[in-house]
Amino acid sequence: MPRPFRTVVGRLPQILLIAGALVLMLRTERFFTPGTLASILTQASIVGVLAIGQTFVLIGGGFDLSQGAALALVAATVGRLSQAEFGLAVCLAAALGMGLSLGAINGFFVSVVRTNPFVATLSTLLIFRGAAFIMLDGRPIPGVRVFQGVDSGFKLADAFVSYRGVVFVAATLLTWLVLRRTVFGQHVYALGGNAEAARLAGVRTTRLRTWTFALSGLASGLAAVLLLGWLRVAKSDIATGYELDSIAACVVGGVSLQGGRGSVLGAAAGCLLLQALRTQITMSGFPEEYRTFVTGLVILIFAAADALARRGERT
Amino acid sequence: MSAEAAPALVALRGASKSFSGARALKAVDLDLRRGEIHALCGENGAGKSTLIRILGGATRPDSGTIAIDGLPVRLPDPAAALRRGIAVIHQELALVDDLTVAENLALGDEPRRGPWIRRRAMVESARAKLGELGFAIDPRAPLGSLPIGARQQVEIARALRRDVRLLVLDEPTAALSRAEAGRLFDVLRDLRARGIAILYVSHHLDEVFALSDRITVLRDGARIGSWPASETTPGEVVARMVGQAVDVRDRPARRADGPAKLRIEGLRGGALRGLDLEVAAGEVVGLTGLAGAGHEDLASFLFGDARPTAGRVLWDGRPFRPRHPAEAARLGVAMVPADRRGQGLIPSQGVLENLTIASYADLARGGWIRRGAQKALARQWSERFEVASAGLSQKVLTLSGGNQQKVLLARWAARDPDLFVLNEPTRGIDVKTREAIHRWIDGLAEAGRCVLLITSDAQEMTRLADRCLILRGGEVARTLEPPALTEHAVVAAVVEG
Ligand SMILES: Nc1ncnc2c1ncn2[C@@H]1O[C@H](COP(=O)(O)OP(=O)(O)OP(=O)(O)O)[C@@H](O)[C@H]1O
Ligand SMILES: [Mg+2]
Repeated sequence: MPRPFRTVVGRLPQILLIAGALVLMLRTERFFTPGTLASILTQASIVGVLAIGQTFVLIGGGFDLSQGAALALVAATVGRLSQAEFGLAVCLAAALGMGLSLGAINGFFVSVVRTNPFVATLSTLLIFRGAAFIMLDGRPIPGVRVFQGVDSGFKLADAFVSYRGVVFVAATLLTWLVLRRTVFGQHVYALGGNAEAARLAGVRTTRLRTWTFALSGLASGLAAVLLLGWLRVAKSDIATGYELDSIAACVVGGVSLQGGRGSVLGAAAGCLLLQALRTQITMSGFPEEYRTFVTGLVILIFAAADALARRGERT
Repeated sequence: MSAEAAPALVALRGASKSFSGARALKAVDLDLRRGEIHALCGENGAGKSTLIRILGGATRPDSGTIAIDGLPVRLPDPAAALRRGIAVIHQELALVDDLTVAENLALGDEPRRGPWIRRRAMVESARAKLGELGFAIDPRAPLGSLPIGARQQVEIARALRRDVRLLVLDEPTAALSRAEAGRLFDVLRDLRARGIAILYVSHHLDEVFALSDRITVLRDGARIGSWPASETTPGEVVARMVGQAVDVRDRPARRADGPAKLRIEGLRGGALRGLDLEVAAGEVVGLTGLAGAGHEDLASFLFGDARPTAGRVLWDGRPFRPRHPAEAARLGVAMVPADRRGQGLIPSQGVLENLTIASYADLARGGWIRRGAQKALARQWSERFEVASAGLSQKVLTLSGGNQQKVLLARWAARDPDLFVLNEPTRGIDVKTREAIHRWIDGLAEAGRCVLLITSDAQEMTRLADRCLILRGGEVARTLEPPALTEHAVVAAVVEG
């Protein structure tokens, strides 16, 4: 294959990402306004935070299906705590601590017991969701106001920027630094690239893998905070299917399901693109039903582009 | 041999290949004849594997033609090459670890009745094939449970299962013991007698001269020439490969008679059945034996990869019981594994990360890696080991095999540990670099480090070891020291005990 063409194919996913964003922006005038862009950021923030957690797990060579369920269980717990009149500090600490622990349970089964990540997190998906249901007796708790602060925001150049969006952006940048610049981050890449070789190079692989899942749980806890701040209702069926949205965002952003490759910036961009696509479809007056269809199509196109880009590599 | 008169079976003309601007092959011509064993020689990165991948359809050349029996052919993929009778055994093995030997041998071509696999027939035909080649392998064993030498024998048996006219082997003996290699040579001679053309790569010139009819030398991607083996000498071939003469040193006279730094007493576990061993600072102790004799287990125990069931290890007089490799590394042990691809390299990462991964703790401040220091370290050690790469970000698997090995050695050398466990340290390394690595090991000993050298290469053993332990069934069968430590003695002791 001639070289310039090769280079184009090798960069296909990124090119598609940029082209997609451009097309979306130019399609309507209304779309390309600070207001619309800021609202996309806000709407993407919850799945975005989950995608950040998912990025740790995927790069480490795992898979986390329990994110949405963990989010619901954390939300149910916070609902109960707020009923008992606990304050913001306690609720926040509980949400994050519980998310971390739920993730650590996944990590324990995957890395210490060596259960397959798909099976382990599929089981905990059912367990967490069921526990949330039991904890709430099947009845939603309305008026959970502890986290309502994150639903506000500030004005920036005519646009309303929510704190939710800020949390998402900040978490993305922090994660990017951690993955690229810390020993922990580089070890996660090595773990996903070749776990046995990493272990024999002196990486504590069991502990490390547990941590990747724990961080995914922490992300679920944080996402629960953002979602409760917005919905203000704790229900057992909230965030259903969010884990698939977060995996989809990672795929669109070029994070490899084989492990070892990808960037959290890609995952965040993928999440924004998918959200922009949904907004665009709604704004252009297509019926709702098209959203799911088009989203699926876009994911498939990105996955195919990624596979094509890797064809020339020695593996 | 009347090889000169025979027309070429496979003729390659003007094959060129570049990787992102770097020219790996420059207009190479090659003729391969029926009933001829043809050796391909060259330094690490000379382009041997690339040439072979082109012949096997695994890589497409940028330009050049291939003709079989004088007719031009296209080999867009390995299946096309196989259909035309070209079978290739690549430098890195390509088998499925989770399947049994028989399943691997039959893969893609299973004996069946309707949709059902005839398991008994599959096992029987595997047994027959392995027996015919003289490989003592149980066809029912899971492939992953076999030592690397046996896995390679399976791969050879698999390549020969169909009608092969040209058999290509990339460094086939790198992983084999001498006895196994000898058996392979018998097989290759037998195939030659049946009129099959054989092309193979080896860094061992003694082997090349014992076996091959013709020798082609590559240097920097270009063909220097081809000569009948009977009309040239190893010295000439080396000079053509390197462009200069390499002077191979003898073992320096070392005397390390200080107290033992590493003391192993009655160690059991794995194949080991009570091993005693002492290593003084500045001593290179060699360990060898047939596969499964226990030397690999010893390496695992010392590196915390597995735990012995009985006995003890003392380091500087204190008990030494690492619980995992990370702890062993922290305590000053380095281990270079024999299985470069499976246990050594991280394929998704570049030279930079692969070289510095064991040094992250020293490179970091508060968990954050100092990039400048990381790059400096990688640059310093890739220069020291002469790693030929397009840059530190080049993906490690796109390096040539020998350069991959250098990255692994450099990874641990950069940490400057006290005890080196080197498992086949020069596998796949060319003559010149091999000498450089041998001198590096001399240097380790001079600097007072302990070295445990596991090697199946008797020449390397005699060149480096101050003492050589030959293991058999988990015990020390013989101990050889100079002047009794000679190549012949090592080979004889391994085979006879
Ligand atoms: N996929 C690839 N991408 C980039 N560079 C490559 C790729 N494959 C090979 N190269 C480069 O091509 C050159 C020739 O490599 P090759 O593997 O053919 O060497 P070799 O002669 O087999 O060496 P060795 O004895 O070490 O195995 C090397 O510089 C290598 O880095
Ligand atoms: Mg090679």
